[in-house]
Amino acid sequence: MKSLDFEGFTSIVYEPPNNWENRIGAPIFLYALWPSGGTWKTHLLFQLTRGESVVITSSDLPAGALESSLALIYPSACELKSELMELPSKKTWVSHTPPWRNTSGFRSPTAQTSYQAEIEPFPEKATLLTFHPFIQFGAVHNFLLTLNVTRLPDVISKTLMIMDSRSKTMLDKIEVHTNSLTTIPLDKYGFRPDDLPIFYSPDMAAIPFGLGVSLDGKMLSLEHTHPPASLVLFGERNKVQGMIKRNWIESFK
Amino acid sequence: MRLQHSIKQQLTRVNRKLFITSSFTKTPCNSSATISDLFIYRSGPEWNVEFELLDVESLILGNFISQENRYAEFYFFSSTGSLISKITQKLSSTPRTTIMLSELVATLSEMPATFAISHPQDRFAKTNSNSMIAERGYTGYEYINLGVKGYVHGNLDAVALFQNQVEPLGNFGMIKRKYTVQHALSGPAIYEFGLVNPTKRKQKFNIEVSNQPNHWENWSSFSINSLGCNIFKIPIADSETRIVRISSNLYMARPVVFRTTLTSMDVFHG
Repeated sequence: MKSLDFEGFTSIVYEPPNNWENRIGAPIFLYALWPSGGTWKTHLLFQLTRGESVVITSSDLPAGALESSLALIYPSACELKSELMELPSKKTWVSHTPPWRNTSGFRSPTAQTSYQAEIEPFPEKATLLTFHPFIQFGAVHNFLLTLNVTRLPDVISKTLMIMDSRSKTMLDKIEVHTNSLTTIPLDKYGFRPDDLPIFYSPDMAAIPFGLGVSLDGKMLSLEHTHPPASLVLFGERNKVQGMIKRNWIESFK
Repeated sequence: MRLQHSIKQQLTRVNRKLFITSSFTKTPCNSSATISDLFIYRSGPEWNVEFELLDVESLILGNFISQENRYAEFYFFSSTGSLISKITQKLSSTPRTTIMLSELVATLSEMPATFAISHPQDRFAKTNSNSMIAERGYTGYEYINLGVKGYVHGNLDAVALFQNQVEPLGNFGMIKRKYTVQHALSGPAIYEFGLVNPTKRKQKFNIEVSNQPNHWENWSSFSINSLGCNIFKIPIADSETRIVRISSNLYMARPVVFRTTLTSMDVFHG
């Protein structure tokens, strides 16, 4: 990932998260995949054997790989062609309880910030509604990042609306992109400590992140915001998720 | 090839039945309970801890109400799992309230190790969805007055809270299993791993570290009481890389990881 001037990194461990689900032990190929010119470009980064780990940074990627601020790291059992028309559908590392993940984030010379990551392609038609409850105040710059990945390599403009949850009015409309990491500065909206902005896209799903950066750039903070389904458990969660989205979207002015 | 695939699938099914013998999270006895994570509290002069309290019921229903007498309740637990105190917090009509936990717990008889939060849900109950409100909110940790907090969200459905009753919801198996932290430790840094026990029984944990493929060394062993918490530390030198795995009977012993250096702090799920 690339955001602002920070170096993106991904820490990958070739050890399954549990000792009873995964059966692969053969060396694997770690590829970088990124969208460019209507295809997914591929680049072999490393071969990894069971028990090894690697930290991949922006500097390991070929020039141009972060054109959309996003490159995917794909562990593959076999070598890939240099261009793909769609993302590989085969999972090489299979684990469900829990899913096999990595740690991704950003680094500066003095700090790093991480989250536990994995991503499946989003459907082409989907929506995003999320609340951002951890905008920071004081000597901090705040940003929202949207991370979208789709099966097909197209980088398409979509819309993200910033809404005020009290008045339900729109504060701004931003252009975001598919197969990209979009960085949106939030300081200009003058949010107060008791505000809870809503980010709503009617035509693109994404993983939203809050990124905090100290004014001197020395300290970083990254975490994703929740989808509405996280507010409940058990019962008809999908129905409740639909209800939450409907309740908010229908009330926007 | 097809036979091989079929055998693998069967083995996976058998393994799953052996290792995951019931649902991850128990269904709470009381359907009006709130399900909450056991959030890790950090005490000591280096830490300033905050929690972003949201009116979850209002978020679900799409409207904030300024009704009096609506309260969230903070349950604070010791590292051995005892309930130290319950503090009631009025839900304000503003969408977000930052609770300064370090100030809130200053008068308690003992510093807490974890906390959980219950919410009102009278209005939500009328939607008949049979779902329950979940508190998976955001704890902000500021280290040595760095001025920027690291945030981590709740994701463990650890306890059900209802009218002073605390019900552990975590299930566990009969067979020990290993959870490998999905992050390669890199230095120079101090790593601290926070583990909670969301089950109704005391649990044993064994920590192993590896600095070369397929070579594991014991690092430490400890037990955690029901609803208790333990934070263990692994210092990593410059240019050193290590992997950590945790043996226990928990379905998923996933820790919250704190990585500190002289000038920074990072907190994330391991």
